[in-house]
Amino acid sequence: MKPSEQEELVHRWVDGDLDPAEETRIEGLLANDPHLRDEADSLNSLRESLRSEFPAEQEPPYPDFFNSQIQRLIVEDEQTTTAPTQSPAETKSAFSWFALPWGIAAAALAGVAFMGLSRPSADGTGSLASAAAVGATVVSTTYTPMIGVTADTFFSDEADATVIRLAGLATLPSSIEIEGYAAASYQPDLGGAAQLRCIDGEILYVLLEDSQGTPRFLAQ
Amino acid sequence: MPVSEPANEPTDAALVSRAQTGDTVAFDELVTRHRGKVYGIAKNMVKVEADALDLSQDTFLKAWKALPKFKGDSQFYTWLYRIAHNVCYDWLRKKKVRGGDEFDDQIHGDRIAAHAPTAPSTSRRPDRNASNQELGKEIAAAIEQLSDDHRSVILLREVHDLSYDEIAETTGTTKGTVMSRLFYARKKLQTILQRTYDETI
Repeated sequence: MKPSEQEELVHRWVDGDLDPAEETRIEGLLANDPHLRDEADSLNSLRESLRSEFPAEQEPPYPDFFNSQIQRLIVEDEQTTTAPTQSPAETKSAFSWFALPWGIAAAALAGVAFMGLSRPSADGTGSLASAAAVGATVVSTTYTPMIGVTADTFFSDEADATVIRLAGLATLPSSIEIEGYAAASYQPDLGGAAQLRCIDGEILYVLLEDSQGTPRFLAQ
Repeated sequence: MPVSEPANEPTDAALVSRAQTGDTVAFDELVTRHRGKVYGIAKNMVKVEADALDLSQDTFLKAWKALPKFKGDSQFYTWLYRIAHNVCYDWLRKKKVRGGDEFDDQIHGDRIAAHAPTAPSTSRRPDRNASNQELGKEIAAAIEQLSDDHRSVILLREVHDLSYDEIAETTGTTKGTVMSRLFYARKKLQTILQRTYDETI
């Protein structure tokens, strides 16, 4: 089914593809041909209907988490690509374009992503955060699932570790005596989990992932 | 389709250059800037939110891995949309192979006759008679009847506002093929919508 010359002209006109001479010509045709005008109206109506039914731009649910998942996929992919079955020459070739700091961090890790835990301050604030990037070299993305909570990261010489510090968490009641802190390694394949417990063994804050890899931040 | 870059913010080209040196922060900014449109393409193509999310993330992972090969001959977003299109297209093709539910509007019985009216008459135009909600359902059902090739071309043109040349680059075809597929897809949609309207009166 080939369009007639005039049909093609109308389609190109509604798509803004005509040069000035063709524009002049189609305007003359439209002024004198009701059928062509109907066709142009129909095409514009179809476009409006499609745009209202199919939005061009849609933010993914949990957009920050979306970004962090991509960083995680990149780390996982690098770990897969740098598997020991590869010869050193192959590894160098595949990653020769990588520059600091990402390349060093990924290469140094060889398998385990990292979750940092800040020490709660005297007033009891502080908790857990997940880190998509890994290692002591750099944490490029953090994801804080609670609104109003922000995270920053730094390398602590004293602890010889990357620390993730959160701000904006609610102050813990003074009646709660903290028993201790536990930070598990963040292993994407197994699901990350870290817990902060109060003295009677009840879990106070838990950060873990569901089966879809979505973090769930729970408080009890 | 130009993608607006925030004033005083680095351009896509600048962020791409940094990302090509392994700067994941720059790449993260590119993800933030383009995730809405990439997710929009995926959602419009595959419908299911979870699948669209997976395919969008796969698109960005593939983009990251292919960045060293990106020479800047085209706009970054065109290059990225091509990856998104290919990821979704491949996924749909594999799904159909698995499910055996391929629909090819080129071989189905309801071909559009060459003499079919290009546009319904003004008084009988379904888009002017159906309620918005009904029309939305009809449009969604009608577009499902198109082949992947025709659906992707019409969505890239009408919804994502890509030019013929940009669609050709995105889908890996020629401008002539794009125009032909677009013409066919529009006529097909018009015919389906007109038929739907005729059946309801």
